[in-house]
Amino acid sequence: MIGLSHYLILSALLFSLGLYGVLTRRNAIGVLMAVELMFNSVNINLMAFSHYMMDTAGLAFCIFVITVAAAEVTVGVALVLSVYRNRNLIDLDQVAELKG
Amino acid sequence: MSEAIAFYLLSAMVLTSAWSVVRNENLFHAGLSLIVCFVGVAGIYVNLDAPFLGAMQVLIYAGAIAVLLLFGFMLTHDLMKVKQERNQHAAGIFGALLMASLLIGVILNAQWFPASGQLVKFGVESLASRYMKQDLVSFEVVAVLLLASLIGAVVIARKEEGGRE
Repeated sequence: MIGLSHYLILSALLFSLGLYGVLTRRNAIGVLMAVELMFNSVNINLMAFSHYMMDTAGLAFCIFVITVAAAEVTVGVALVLSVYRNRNLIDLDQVAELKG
Repeated sequence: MSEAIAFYLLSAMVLTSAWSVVRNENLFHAGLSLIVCFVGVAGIYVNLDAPFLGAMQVLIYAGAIAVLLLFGFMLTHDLMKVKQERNQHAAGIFGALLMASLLIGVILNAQWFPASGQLVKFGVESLASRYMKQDLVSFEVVAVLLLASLIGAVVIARKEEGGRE
């Protein structure tokens, strides 16, 4: 029988994989992909709680998260394109002007 | 029983494709694995009795976000040299293992509540009435957010005219 904790563990593993990707990728687009994995794990969490608590709050939050993720990735790709056009690089280690 | 079989198959699909997303040296192949991962997560939603959310997942994530990321990759990269090197390998493995063990430890030790509340149908009707009653303000704020991100993306990504140096 599949319970709440099965879904939560799947979500935890997916979140950790996304964290690993964020920490190790150097390409900005690769980092954005890993962030999308983390968004998806959060959505699985919300939806599992919604299902097992029999409440639509999780479903509503989940759609908000999908909307905000779409806005985030739009602006993120626009920023990457802008940096690439002005500086001709995409490696995040080289975009370090704000480093103190 | 069929729910359990579907859960384990979908979990294997999601986790293997997510592993490919973070590990594949060819970032284009990583983006294609991302689509497989999103479709697997949509199957998880259908398994959780939310077919509408599964459809939205396929439309927005697999259809729009993954394609946008792939286009971003193709526009910013010379496709002849797609091999990606990694850095901070040890820190990445340590951070991810620490996070996974913390989360799984908490999940396995917590006392989860029994199901409470009355059974609601996870249809579009219940979602629509929630958005039009309790969550009306958030709904409108999200609409403004979408408009702002649309305009912001156009402003950020367009070419500067007249050479404002």
